[in-house]
Amino acid sequence: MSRPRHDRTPASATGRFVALYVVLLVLLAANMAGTLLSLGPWAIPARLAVAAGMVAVIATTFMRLRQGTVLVRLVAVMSLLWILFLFVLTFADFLTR
Amino acid sequence: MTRTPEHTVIVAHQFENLEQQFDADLLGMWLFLVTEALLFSGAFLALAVYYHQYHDTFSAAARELHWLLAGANSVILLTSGLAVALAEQAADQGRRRAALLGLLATIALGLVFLAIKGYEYHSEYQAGLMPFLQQPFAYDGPNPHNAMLFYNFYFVLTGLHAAHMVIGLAVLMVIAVLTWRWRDGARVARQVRIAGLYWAFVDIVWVLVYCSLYLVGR
Amino acid sequence: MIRDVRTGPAPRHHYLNAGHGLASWFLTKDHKRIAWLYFVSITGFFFLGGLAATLIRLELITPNGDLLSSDAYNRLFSLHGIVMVWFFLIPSIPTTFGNFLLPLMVGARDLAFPRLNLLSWYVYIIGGLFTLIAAVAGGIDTGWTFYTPYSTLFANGAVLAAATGVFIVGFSSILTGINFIVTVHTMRAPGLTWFRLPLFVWAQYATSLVMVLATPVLSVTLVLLAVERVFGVGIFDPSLGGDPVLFEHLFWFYSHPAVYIMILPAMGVVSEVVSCFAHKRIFGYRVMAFSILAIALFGFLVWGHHMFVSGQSIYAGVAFSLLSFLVSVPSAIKIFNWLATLYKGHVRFDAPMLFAMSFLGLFLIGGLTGVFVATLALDVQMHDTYFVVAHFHYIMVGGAVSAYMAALHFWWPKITGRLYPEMWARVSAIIVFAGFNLTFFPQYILGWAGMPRRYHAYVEDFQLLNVFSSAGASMLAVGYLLPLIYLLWSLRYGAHASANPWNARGLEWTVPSPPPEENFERPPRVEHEAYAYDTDA
Repeated sequence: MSRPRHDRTPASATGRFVALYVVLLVLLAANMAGTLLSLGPWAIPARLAVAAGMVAVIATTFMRLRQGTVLVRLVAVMSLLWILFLFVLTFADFLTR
Repeated sequence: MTRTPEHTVIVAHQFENLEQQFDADLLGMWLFLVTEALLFSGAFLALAVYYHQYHDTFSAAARELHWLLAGANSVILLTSGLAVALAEQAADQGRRRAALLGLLATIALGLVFLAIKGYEYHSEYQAGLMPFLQQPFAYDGPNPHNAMLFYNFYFVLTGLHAAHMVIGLAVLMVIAVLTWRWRDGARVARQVRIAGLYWAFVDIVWVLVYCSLYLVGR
Repeated sequence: MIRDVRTGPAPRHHYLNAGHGLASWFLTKDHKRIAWLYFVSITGFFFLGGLAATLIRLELITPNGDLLSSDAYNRLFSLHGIVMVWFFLIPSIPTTFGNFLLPLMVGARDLAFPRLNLLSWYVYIIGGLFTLIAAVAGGIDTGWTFYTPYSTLFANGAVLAAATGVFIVGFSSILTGINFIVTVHTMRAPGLTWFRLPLFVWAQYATSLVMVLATPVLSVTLVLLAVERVFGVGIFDPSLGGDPVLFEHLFWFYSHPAVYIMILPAMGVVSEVVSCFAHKRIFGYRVMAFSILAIALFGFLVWGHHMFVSGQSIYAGVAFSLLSFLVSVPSAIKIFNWLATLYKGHVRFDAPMLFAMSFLGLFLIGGLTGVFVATLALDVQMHDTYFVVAHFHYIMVGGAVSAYMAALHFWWPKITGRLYPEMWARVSAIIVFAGFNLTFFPQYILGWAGMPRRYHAYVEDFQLLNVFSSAGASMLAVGYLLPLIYLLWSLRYGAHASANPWNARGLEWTVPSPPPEENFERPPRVEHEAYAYDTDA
């Protein structure tokens, strides 16, 4: 069972953490500033997309999914898939009433 | 990269080696986070369904929330996420003081977040927007009945998140004590890592709560 | 001659005599002892649920409500449902046989997280206590489904205590599920590749996935329910514009997959038993493994078939109906493969095999009538009648409980180190099979004729079939009480079992009966696929 661990963080990772932290703050600011624009029907998709981007940054960087094993990444994808099942099939009802 | 000397490494009896134990712990924590994600997604689903049905009323109600204060709170929580990520890295490299510092910063930022959230709740209570605790609902926008539904979800979702923060803080405090003692470096690194995963998840939930309650309606 | 194979000397040291006293049981981290904690507690809940069922069947002997008031009747069937679903069927096979056998079958010393395993038993017990408190404090009359707004705004029973109990026991499922998944992924012995795993392990794995992915949605649904009930805050309340159908969506997102939590482990058991007693390699091993996963996956896409008459959109109803038919494909594959395994096998009909055969027949009937009620147009007629009651009892009692009994007899020598009296066990299997059909087949006819469920009185025309049903129920009671007696008897007076009394394959049969505390002296190395029955006599 002994195999090299790929998720050990080298010291240089500090720089990447800080850089992506700044990216997160920029995304947050952009999302807040976006409320001042009138985007019409695109407002909600745009805000959710920016939030999804923030989630992706946190998951891949702070939670180290990028360096994670295939199995752990599969688990993360699985949760998204099941949330999709929940939303798609429930809205299949509410959107077609 | 400094590692703790091998003779301090203790493997639990059911495992063959440390790698196996680390893989198991990490996978277990990720599976637990999957359950947490599905738990929140149930509440988000309900919110989404009602948002779909009462879009205008919900948007109007959302504009009453303190979105700038909560935005500042987002910055605080994201910063705590950075702090715990750096603490994990430090623990993995065997730097005890840096790890401890990172954890304490995380805890402090988490407490500040909760304090600000408490202030928000208080001001909403005073404005009569809490539709329970024997208080009349003083919302003066359109369709107050449907708006009440929005506030109910606001309190349920932020309350669930706050409950997870409290659990996360309790875990981090225990881990901070273990890091301070530093009995077995590899084990501490593992524990900091697992606790950090949970905290990052709490961050993710807040990003979604903030976006869907405070921003979507604006 | 045969007894020589089955009996053997008692091993000196094993997990049962590795420690004495209460603490050695209640603080144990040994998966085999934790399995015993679950055995005892779920048996208690099984007979509690059975008691409620007995009173229900007694009431239904006559068309008038003469034994129980309608209110008491409502509380009894709710108690029966809640106890049987969450405190017996969901934990039944995974927490007992899964707990005991999973580490043995993958060649490990224990589960990945032994302390978590013990914790999940305590969580189960705390959840059970809340439910008992709810029962004592007047019970609840919402049915096991807690439909809103009745459960939140109107019901006057101990809804909160019952919902809390179910909420808590959900975490027990989640913890067990996580533990099993991690164990299967990280603890397999050298050489034990995925396609060498026994199908029982595949079934436990798929079940655990369902537990982990479905249960949290039930938890949050119950939180929303509790918030609405306690604070009077509207969540599903129609007067605020809330939608009770949304509650049903959330509830059935868990509760339909929950059916697969009950039946998948049963399928795993039947695969082991059928292969052993036909003394033949299982037919189509890989297809069997994939159909387990397929059932687990499809199980998440069909929940709307419980809501055909709820006011759900007709288009969603059609989609859910079609998706539901998909489940029958992997289920049928499994049935055919079990039959193909039996074909030209040297079949022996010991008690575990009799129970497994019951499973095959009863699950088949339950599954086929499941296709009836999954058909949108037909279900409008069948919904909320005894046809549905008969259908799911064929799956849950005829399927899951039969397999539980098969497992109990099959692994009893391994777990206790004693042989049970074979003759009595066969008698019990036959009584259960006959009693079950007498109880529930008439309910299909009653439902077809239009008798609604959940009423304590009915029109006189239905009496004869109801009397049959109640008579069958009393047979079932005998059939289930009998094993309780002879299995307890065998603990003291049964002959000592050999390591492999059934001449079965699998790692659990390579260790002594009962197994030593550490399971294997050194980690086993696996060089064969599972079910290598044709390698030697």
